[in-house]
Amino acid sequence: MLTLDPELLGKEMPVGEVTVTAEEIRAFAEATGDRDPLYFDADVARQAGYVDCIAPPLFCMKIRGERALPDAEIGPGLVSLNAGQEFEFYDEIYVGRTYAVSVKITDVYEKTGRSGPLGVLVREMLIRDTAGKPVVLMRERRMVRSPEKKI
Amino acid sequence: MSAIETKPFDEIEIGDEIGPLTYAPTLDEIQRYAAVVRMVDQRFMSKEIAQQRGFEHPIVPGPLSATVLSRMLREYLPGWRLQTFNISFRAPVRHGDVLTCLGLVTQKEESDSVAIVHCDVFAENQNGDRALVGTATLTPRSAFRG
Repeated sequence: MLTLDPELLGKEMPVGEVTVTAEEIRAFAEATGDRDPLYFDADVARQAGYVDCIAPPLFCMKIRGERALPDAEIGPGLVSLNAGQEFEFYDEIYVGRTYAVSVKITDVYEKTGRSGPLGVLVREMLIRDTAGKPVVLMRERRMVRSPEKKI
Repeated sequence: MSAIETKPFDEIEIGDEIGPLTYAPTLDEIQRYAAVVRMVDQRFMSKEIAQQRGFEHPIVPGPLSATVLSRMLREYLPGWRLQTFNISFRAPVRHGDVLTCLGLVTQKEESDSVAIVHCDVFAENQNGDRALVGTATLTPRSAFRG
């Protein structure tokens, strides 16, 4: 169901850098209905002990969406689904700072679910600061299956 | 001094209920989110393309629904923030669905002098189907200031 170049499995691949802007944080916060002033108001952020505005935790999904990630080839006609995501947060994402992004496919396997055979791909995205310190680790499970049962 | 009040650790009890927070994303909101995160897959916006991809209806991006659970936790625990957040997408959220987001404090502990609160979270649709289920741990924001 999923075909992966064996050399990609377990290989950490840099997929670019991102410098986070206030406009991006504002746009993400507004698009998700999150009005925490820490995301918008630098004075509030400083009064709360931060050096500047911070991003909502799941802002990392914007960083993920902006880049092409290594992937497995999906069999023809199969349906791809997002089965789940796990996040580990080690630090805040700050406005104006630059972060390095890397991706690693950690597992590809097949199993049988209620709707029949499933293919599962597990992929990690790690965001590091300029010192190399982990900031966010996101692990996502993508699932592919037959489209016979409509969702 | 923090301008944002932090919910005291000793006021958080195991068994505390979180929410509810009701969420019914509109097509405009889905399109806006998709544009912001550069989600180019049109199955989330177009019924025709969704059906071509094996879906009866266009669905709401799972991570967008997950942000609502994240927001619910932040609003319940002011001054705290996520340390871990694990979400499984159990059932599709279709356009027009109304999600009710809920949570429960399941554990509290102090590790290396850092307070940690564990929660279960879920979002169910208008039929009572749990579309998202997950767990989260939160710590005071002061533990994160770098």
